[in-house]
Formats: sequence, C-alpha cells, structure tokens
Amino acid sequence: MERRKEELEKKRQKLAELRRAREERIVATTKVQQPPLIPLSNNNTTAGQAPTAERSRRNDRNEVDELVNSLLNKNDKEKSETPVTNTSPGDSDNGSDKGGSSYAPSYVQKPVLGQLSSPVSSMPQSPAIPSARFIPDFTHFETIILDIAPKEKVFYGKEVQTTATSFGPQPPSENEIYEKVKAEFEAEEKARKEEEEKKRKEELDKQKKVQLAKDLNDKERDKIIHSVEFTKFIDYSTKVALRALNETYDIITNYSESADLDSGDEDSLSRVKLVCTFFDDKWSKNRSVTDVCWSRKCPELSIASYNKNPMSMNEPDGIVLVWNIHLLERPEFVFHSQSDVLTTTYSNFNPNLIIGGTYSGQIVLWDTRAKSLPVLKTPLSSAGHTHPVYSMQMVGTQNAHNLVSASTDGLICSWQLDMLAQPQETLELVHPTHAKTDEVSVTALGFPDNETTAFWVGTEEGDVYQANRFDRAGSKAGINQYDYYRGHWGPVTGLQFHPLVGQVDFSDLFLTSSVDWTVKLWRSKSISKPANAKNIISSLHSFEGADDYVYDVKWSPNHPALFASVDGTGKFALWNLNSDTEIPVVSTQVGGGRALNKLNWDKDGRRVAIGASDGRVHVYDIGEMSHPRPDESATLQKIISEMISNTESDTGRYAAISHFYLDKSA
Amino acid sequence: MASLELEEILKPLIANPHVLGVLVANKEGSVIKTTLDAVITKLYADKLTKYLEMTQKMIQEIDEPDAPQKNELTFLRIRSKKHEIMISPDVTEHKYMLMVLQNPERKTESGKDRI
Repeated sequence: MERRKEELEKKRQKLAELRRAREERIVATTKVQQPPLIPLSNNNTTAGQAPTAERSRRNDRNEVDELVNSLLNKNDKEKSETPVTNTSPGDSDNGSDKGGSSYAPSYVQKPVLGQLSSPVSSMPQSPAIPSARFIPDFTHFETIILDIAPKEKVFYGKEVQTTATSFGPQPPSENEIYEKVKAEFEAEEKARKEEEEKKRKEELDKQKKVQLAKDLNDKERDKIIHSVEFTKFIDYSTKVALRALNETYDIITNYSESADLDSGDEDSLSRVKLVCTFFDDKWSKNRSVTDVCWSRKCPELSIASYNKNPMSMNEPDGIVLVWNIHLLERPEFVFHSQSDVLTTTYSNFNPNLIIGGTYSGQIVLWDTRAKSLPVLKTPLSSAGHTHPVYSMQMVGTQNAHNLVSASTDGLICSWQLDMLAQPQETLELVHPTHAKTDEVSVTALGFPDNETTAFWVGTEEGDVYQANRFDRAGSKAGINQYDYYRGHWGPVTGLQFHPLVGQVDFSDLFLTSSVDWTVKLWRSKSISKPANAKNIISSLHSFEGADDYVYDVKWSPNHPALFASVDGTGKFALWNLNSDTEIPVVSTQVGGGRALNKLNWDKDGRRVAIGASDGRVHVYDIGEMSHPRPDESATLQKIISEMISNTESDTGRYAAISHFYLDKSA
Repeated sequence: MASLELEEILKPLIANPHVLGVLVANKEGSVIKTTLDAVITKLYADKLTKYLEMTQKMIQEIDEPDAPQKNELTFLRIRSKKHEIMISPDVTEHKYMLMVLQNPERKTESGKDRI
C-alpha cells in the first residue's frame, strides 16, 4: 500500500511538472503570436533569437505537446476510472479509499460544488487546448480548497489492554474525598445560614412585637399598675434601689488620686453620733413612738411601735414599722393593729415574728413573711388582758419559752406564741394592804437574766414589787407583799435588770426610771429568803440628772457599768457608773426637743434606737464608749459595794434623824 | 395599687439628690412610669430591656447545670464615669424592671449628714 501511495505521489508530481511545462509553453506560443511582447513575456526565451530558431523550436514544441496530450489523455482516462476502481479487488483496503480521496486536494468548480465524483473537472477541457491553442479560452472561476485533516488511525496491539476494573466498592480517591468534604461543608454552611436567617427573622418578629407593644395607653398602664404582681414588684424593687442608694461608700474610690483634705470631723469629738432618723410621712406623722426594739438576727433591722394617728381615722390605730439602717426613706414592713400598740418586741427565737402589746389588751403577732395584718392575736375576753399592756418579755430558752405580759389591772399572762387563743396561765397581782383598791397597776415588768419564775414589777404609784409566777418552796405564786422597793414618787416607766456581762455577776441589780425625774439603781433581795414582815428596801443610788420625766432606762448589753436614759425634754443621757455617778458622761439633745419615749440597745451595745413622741426614731452610735475596759467589772463591783454600805449608813442616819425629829416634836 | 400610690412609693427614690431619673417598664420595654424625657426614656427602655434579658440569660447559662436551685439575676449595677445605672428586675414574675439613674459622684456631705 505504501508503495502504491508512493507511485501515486510520483505520478502526481510528474503531472504537476508537465502541467507547469505546458503552461509555460502556452505562454511561449502567445509570445510568438505577439512578437512585440516576447522580450517581456518570457524569461526562458532570449530577446535576440532568430525567427528560424523560433520556428524550429515551435515544431519541437508541437511534438512535445502532442506527446503530452496523449499522455494527459491517457492519464485522464485513468483518473476518471479511479472512482470505479475503488471497489476493485486491488483496492481491498478500506482505509486507502478514504485516505486516497482525501489526500488529493480536490479542485471544485464553484457552480458544481457538489460534483465531487469528478475530481478534476477542468481536465476534460484540456484535450481542447491543442485545437484552440492560439485562442486560449480563459475562464474565470473561483476554487475553494478544502483541506480535510486525515482521521487519526488507531491501532491496537496485542499488548494493549483495557484498564482493569474491579468490582465492589471502590476505595475513594483523594479527589473524591475532597469533593465529599466540600459538599458536606457546603451543606453545613447552608444549614447554618438558614438557621441564622431564621433567627434573624425571629429576632425581627420579636422586635416587631416589641415595637408593637411599645406604647401603652393609659388604660393598659393602669391595668398594669393595678395588678398584684406589679405592686409586689414595685414594692420590693424600690426597697432594693433605696438600699443601694443609701450605701454611702463609693466603691470606685481611687485613693491614689489626690483627695481633698477633710477638715477634722467635729462629730468624732462629741462621742455619740446620730446615725440616722427614721421617719415616714405617711405612717409616722402625727403618731408617737411607744416602743423600739432591735432584731437579734438582722442587726440592721429595728422595729418601732406607734400609737394612733388622731388626724386620720381611716388608718389603723396602731402600727408597727420595721426599719432598716440601710433604707431610710421608708419602712421595710408596715404592720397594722386595730388598737394602739404600746410595746413591741422581736421574738428572740424566731426572727420572723414580731409581737405587740396593745391598748385594748390584745397581744398580736405579725410575721414578716405574711401581709401587714397580724397572723395571730389574743381574744378580747376575760381569759386574757382587758387592760392596756405596757410591758411584756420573752422568757425561757429556744425549746421552752413563753411570753409574759402584764396589763395595768395587775394581770400577768404567759403565752405560747403559736397558740394565742388562750393564755397558758394567768396570775392576778393583788396587794391586800393597798390603800384603796388591792390592785397592783403594772407599768413595767422585768425578769432577771436566766430567771423565768421570779420577776419584778414597777407600778403606777411608784413602788416596785417582787412576784412569782408559780408556787415555790417557801413562797407562793403572786406578789411578795412584804418587800417594798420604795423610792419613786411617781409611776415607774421603765425597769430593767442588769444583763450578764463581764466576769462578775450583777444580775441582782436593776434600774428603774420614773416620772419623778429620777433613775434609780436597786439591788434585789434574794427570793429564797422572803420577808415575813413589811420590809422597805431603798435604792442603792438615785440618778438625778434629768429635768423632766424620765421615760426609759436601759443597761448596755456590752458594758457592765454603762446605761442610757431618755427624758421628756428630749435628752438622751449616757451614764457610766465607773466614771461618774452624779452626772451623765454624755447628754445629748435629740431631735427637736420633743419627749423621748423609749430607747433600746442593739445586740453589740454600739447603737441606740430612741423613739420620740413626734414619731421619729433616732439611731445613735456611741462609738468607743461601748467597749468596756478589762477592769470594768471589778471597778463596778467596788462602786456597788460602796453604794451598799452608803445606803445602809444612810438608812441608819435617816432613821436616827427621823427619831430625833420625832423626839423633838414630842 | 393606684397610680397615686405608685407615685408615693417612687417619691423617696426621686427625691434622692443623687438620683437623675427613675424608669419603670415591662420586659418588652413599654414604659409604665418615667421621670426622664421621652427620647431618653425610649432609648433607655429599649437598650436596657435587651441588656437585662441578655444578662438574665447569661446568668442562667453560666449556672451549674445540676444545681439544686436555679440561679437568677437579682440586681444589676452599671458604673460609668457619668452615671450609675441600677436595674432591679422582677424576681418573681419576670415581667417588669425598675431602673434608677444615679450620679456616681458622691460628695462627702451626703455621708456626713448620716454618720
């Protein structure tokens, strides 16, 4: 086949050569016919050739032409046969046919573009050339050369095999893994975006809702304001905010910055400092404080009881307010009572309970966990008190404790706090030797520390008596009618036993205050040796620093020799028996000079709450004075023993003098 | 509670010399009571309710998951150079909040008249 191809190639080359030659010849003949053009038209012919040579050459050329023509004709015939011979046995190879037809650049006459079957369409005209040799019939036609690229032949050798394919799951290629991860990541991303979109939408919805709820009209606002939960919320949150506001210490203080020099605090010179004053326009106005008390559990809380407000009849007669040192503007709690509350105390054993003694004789119990109305109260019946209760005290221990209360008709009741329907026991104090009535009108009551049976009562006429709650060996329940603690010439307003402080036991000492402008210190007689005849006991000492009624007196719970008193001129006096028994160590005017009704020390004896008759509660800090020196108790013991000896000699002298006068008058 | 009582209860807060404003709103930011002007009120109510919600959420989220009692935001104080913002949220119903705007610069005289 290769050979054949070569042959064809050769033939074609030959043909091309011949064709070129012929064309040259044609040009030459035209040159001959047009002699003047000769020298210009042909390069091969020399300009100065003889006409004979010209003729002979023309003859030669004719011969050659004939030869060529014959050859051409023959070749032409052969060529025209090729399409037919394609199917001849010699050309059995399929590829050669296509290759053959495509190899030759085919000359296509434009008008007969589709006639590919005659590959050389101009050829048939060539035999006419010799006849019209001298009039060459030039026709103009365009040719398009289609150069079709040969199709690549693919040969399969024996060693060429198809790629091995394995059945079953194919191990993923790196690319596949990459694709997979990418797809997963994209899916995740998409999900995340969707989620975000969703969230944003929700947010928007919410905002829209907020936007919608933004403006409340008056009706809606009123509805909210009237709701119980709002009341609760506002009550609590304002309290919290006020407490926060009352914090005077600035936590952001930077001490490294230059600070203004504070000119020496004058307050530190005077030894008691007013901490705060509790007053509430709504509740405290037009009322008087009847009693004050500190919470044992929460040292910042104090309670104050108030009498009725004559200006406002709609409000409850008696109230108890719970005040917080850190919340000055309003009370923490407000408790109501139907009658004036005359005395109040925290239950020592349950910090939530507050007890009040009222003018009507009822004992009421409030709970800070409950609302403002009492959770429990005693009935108004002959079983309990029917006269004002000015004094009461918790006695006993955590597991066995009672409230002992005394009314002005001389009735002493003891109560169980969780059962106020009925007193546990009652005791009527009667004094058979009393001038007109046998009643003992109790205004003050006091139990020595750790004592639950024997107690002392201060009365309206000024005498102080000892009484027993129960029958005891050698003494009966009720008043000890022989022992008179005589000294006061007016009603006793306060009575308190010495609390147990320091190493020495002073529990037999007690203080009383009275409207006779004095405070008196007494030494109680031992209850184990009751007298059988009238026995007048006089006071150890009388403190006469006040210029008005003395309304209350209280021992410091921390300092054995310290006590405080308040009087009708608005003076708050601090006495220290160890430094001076004649004048108070500190005497301060409290508030606007209104009478001070009650006072009470806080647990550590550092602060004193003072209830005034104008409804104010003042809290004083007594500073350094609250700390006893180590020898305080010993000094006090010495002073007390001195007082005792003085009293004995005094009574002796008094007796002698009275005898002397009696003798004289006689 | 009538709105007069509300005024009464807020009076001591407003009367405090350090307090610049008081705002009561529900948790959506709708104003129930304010002493600030309208623009500032809206701004504060808007921002603070969102802030409060975030804080409440945060407190709950940082709480130990198996704690016997759930933690809860009870009070929020924000100190800045110009203000102190105190927010008291509704601890029981989670419906309202009280905001007190305070001047953080406390001079000594406020302390003097108390102690």
